Amino acid sequence: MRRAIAAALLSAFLLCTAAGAEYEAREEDAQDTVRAVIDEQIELMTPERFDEYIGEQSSILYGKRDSRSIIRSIVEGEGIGDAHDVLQRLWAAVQDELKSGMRLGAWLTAIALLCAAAGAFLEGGDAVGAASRAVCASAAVTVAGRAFMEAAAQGAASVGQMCGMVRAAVPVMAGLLLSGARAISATSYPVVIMLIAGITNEITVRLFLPLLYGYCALKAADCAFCSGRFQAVCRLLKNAMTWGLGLTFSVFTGLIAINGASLSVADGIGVQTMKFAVSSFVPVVGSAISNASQIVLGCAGLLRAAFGTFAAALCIGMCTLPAVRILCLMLVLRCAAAVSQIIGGELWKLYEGFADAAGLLLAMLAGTAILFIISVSMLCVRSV
Amino acid sequence: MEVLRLVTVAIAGVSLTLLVRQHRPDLALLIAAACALCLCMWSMAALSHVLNASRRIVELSGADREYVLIMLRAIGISYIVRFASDICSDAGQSAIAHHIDTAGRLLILICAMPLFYAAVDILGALASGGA
Repeated sequence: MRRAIAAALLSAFLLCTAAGAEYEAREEDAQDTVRAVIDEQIELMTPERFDEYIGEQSSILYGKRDSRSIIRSIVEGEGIGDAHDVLQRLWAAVQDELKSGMRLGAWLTAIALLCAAAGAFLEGGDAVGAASRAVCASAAVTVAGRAFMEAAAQGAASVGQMCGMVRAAVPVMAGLLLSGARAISATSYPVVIMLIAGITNEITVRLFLPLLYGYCALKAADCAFCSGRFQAVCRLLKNAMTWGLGLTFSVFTGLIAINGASLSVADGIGVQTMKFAVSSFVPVVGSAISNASQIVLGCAGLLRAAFGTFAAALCIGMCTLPAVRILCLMLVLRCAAAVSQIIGGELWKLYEGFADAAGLLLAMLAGTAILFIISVSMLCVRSV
Repeated sequence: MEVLRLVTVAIAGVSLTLLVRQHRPDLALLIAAACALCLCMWSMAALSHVLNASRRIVELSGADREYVLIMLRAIGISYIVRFASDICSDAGQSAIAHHIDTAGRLLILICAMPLFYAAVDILGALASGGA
C-alpha cells in the first residue's frame, strides 16, 4: 500500500514537473510567436513615414526618437517616454512662453502708458494730440500684431501637420484593421475619414484662418485709427467663425460616430463568421488555424491600440506647444487690456480684439486635435 | 504741496496778467507766457516720471528701442507744439497757432514714418491672410 502511494506521489510529481516544463516551453513559444507577429506587422506599417511628424515640437516633449522604437516600446508596455521627463520638458517650455509673454505684456503696458500720457496732456479733439495717439496706436498694432502672427503661423502649421498626420495614419489603421479581420471597416473607414479630414482641413486653412486674419486686421485698424467704424463687421466675422467652427466640428464628430457604430457591428459579424467557417470547414487542422488566427487578431488589436496611443501622443506633441503659446498670448493680451483700461485710452479694445482672435485660433487648434484623437480612438476601441 | 504750488503760480499769473493788461497789454502777454512756461516746466517734470516708468517697463520687456524713441519724440513734439499754439492763440494770432499745429502734425508724421510703415505692413500681412 505504502509503495503504491509513494509510486503514485512520485508519478504525480514527475507528471507535474513535465507539465510545468511543457507549460513554460509553450509560454515561451507563444511569446516568441506574438513577438514575431508584432514585429512583422510593425514592419508592414512602415513607421518611417511618421518620423517627419516627430518634428521640433514633438521632440521637445518626447525626446529625439524614431517612430519604430516608440511604437515598439508602447507595445512592450514601456510607454512613450518617462512621464517625469515629459512633464519637466513641458514645464520648461511653458516657463519660456510665460517669460516671453510677460515681456510682451510689459511692452504693451508701456505703450498703453505712453498713449495715456499723450492723451492726458492733450485734449481729445486736438489734432496734434490725435497724431501722437495714432503713433502709439501704430506701435501697439505692430507689437501685438507681430506676436499674434507668429503664434498664428505656428498654430496654422500645427493644424496642417495634424491633418497630414491623419492622412498618413489612416492607411496604416486600415492595414491594421484588415490584419485584424475588420475588412468592412478597413475598406469603408479610411474613405470616410480621409474625406472628412480633408474637408475639415480645407475649411480650417482656407476659410477660417483667412477670416481670422481679416478679423484681426479690421479690428486693429478699427481700434487704432477708425474709432469703431468696423465694429459691426468685426462682430459679424467673429460670429461667423464661431458658428462655422462649431458646425464643422459637430458634423465631423457626428459622421465619425455614426460610421464607426455601424461598421463595428458589421465587423463583429464578419469575424465570427470567419472563425466559424475556418473551424468548421477546414478538416482536421481547422481548430488549430482558428486558434492561430486568434493570436494574429489579438496582436492586431494590441498593435492597433499601440498605434492609436502613438498617434494620439504625436498629435498631443504637435499641438501642445503651439497651444501653450497661443494660450499665453491670449492671457497676456487680456491682462494688458485690463491694465490699459485702468490706465486710460482706447488701446484696451485693440488688445481685447487680438485676445479674442487668439481664443478663436486656440479653438481651431483644439478642435482639430480633438477630431484627430476621436477619429483614431474610434478605430482603437473596437475589441477583437 | 506740489499741487498747491502749481495752483498758486497759475492764479498769481492770471491775476497779474489781468491787472497789467489794462495798462500794458504787451507786458501782459509776456507775463502769461512766463507763467505758462513755468507750468510747462512743471508738467515736463511730471511727464518725465511717467516716461521713466515707461522706459523701465520697456527695458524689462527688451522691446525695440527705436519704437520707444519715436513715441517719446511724438509726445514731446505734440506737447511743445500745443504750448506754442496756446500762447499764439492767447495773443490773438490764431493763424500762426493753426500753422504751428499743422507743422507739429507734419513733424510727428515724419518722425513716426517707420512706425506707420511697420503698422501698415502688419495690417497688410493680416489682411492678406498672414502671408
